[in-house]
Amino acid sequence: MGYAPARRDHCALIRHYSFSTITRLCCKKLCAVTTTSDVRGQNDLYEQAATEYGAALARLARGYEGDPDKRRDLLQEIHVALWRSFGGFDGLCSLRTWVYRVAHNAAASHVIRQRRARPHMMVSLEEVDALRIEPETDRNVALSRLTDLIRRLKPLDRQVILAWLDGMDAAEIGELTGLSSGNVATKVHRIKSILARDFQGARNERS
Amino acid sequence: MKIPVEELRAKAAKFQSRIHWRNAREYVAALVVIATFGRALWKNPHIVPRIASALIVAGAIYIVWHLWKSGAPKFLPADMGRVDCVRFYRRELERQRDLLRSVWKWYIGPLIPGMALSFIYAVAIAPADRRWHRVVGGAVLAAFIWIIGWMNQRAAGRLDGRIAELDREAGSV
Repeated sequence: MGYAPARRDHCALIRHYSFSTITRLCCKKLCAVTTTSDVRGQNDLYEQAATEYGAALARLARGYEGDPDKRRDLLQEIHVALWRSFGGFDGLCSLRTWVYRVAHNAAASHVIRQRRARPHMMVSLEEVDALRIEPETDRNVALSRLTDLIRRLKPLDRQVILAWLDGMDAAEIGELTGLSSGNVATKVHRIKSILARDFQGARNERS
Repeated sequence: MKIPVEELRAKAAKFQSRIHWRNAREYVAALVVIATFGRALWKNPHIVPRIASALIVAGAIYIVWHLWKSGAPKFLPADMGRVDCVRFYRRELERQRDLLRSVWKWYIGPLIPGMALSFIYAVAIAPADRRWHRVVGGAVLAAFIWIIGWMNQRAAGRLDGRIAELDREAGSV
């Protein structure tokens, strides 16, 4: 497996090529050496991510798409995007952050495409906070209404609430979304207030 | 849920081929235009319609070249994991907005000179009692094209609004 260049190849290179060309050729050979292991790494990373975060990805898809058939398509898109992305995983962030970023970005693309086909109004957390919804204590009904509400939220607010409900803290949410910590803190505060006031039955949903 | 890698590979190829097929349809439509007006350029004995046909063919060739130069957009960009949600969403909105804004320049605009010349010639050679039919027909077509362009610009403006809103939201504390 891999490529082991003979010593004479190196001498020939140095004799006949400029430094930049040699650098480029060495990079190409290095890539050839690592290609097979890269593919295995990509597949291994996907297996690990799918095992650890498969359930979370399914929950995320539910938060973005209400139609069961489209939700299944979205979930498949997320898995494909995840697998493809691991070809360029650079380890600069945690696996968790990477997985959630890919999933949310894929889902955001899905929302954009759906809105082109069926434009509909989206609301912000501030607008929801200002509404007075009749409080719901029945857990199943509250969860259903909460999921419906999440699907109507603007993409950024939706990402924050889904990440928070999945147990991410403010710093992780900031890293995922690119929002400042103050911005995240404000949104999380609104989420807690909305849940406490209007969705008492779903209060313990955060896992 | 875990999907086998072979299935993932197949699905990724399927997603990308959808975009290629969409572009292929545009290429085929352009080729039909080139073939039709290329034939008119060859067969028509009169100079003005031949110039109009040549302009339309040139416009269609420009559209094909622009499509080819732009390349097929990636259905699922490979850098999704590196880009945070705000930047990714903004980039998608910008891409859509720029596409809508440039429709006049690279999709409708190139065909207008040839179409306009054809229309003027058709009006000029029409019998006097039928001339106004052609003028009205041409005006309706021009209005239709203008409305399409205007709707695209309006949609681009709405996307500008969403981008500005996103910037405000992402920047606010």
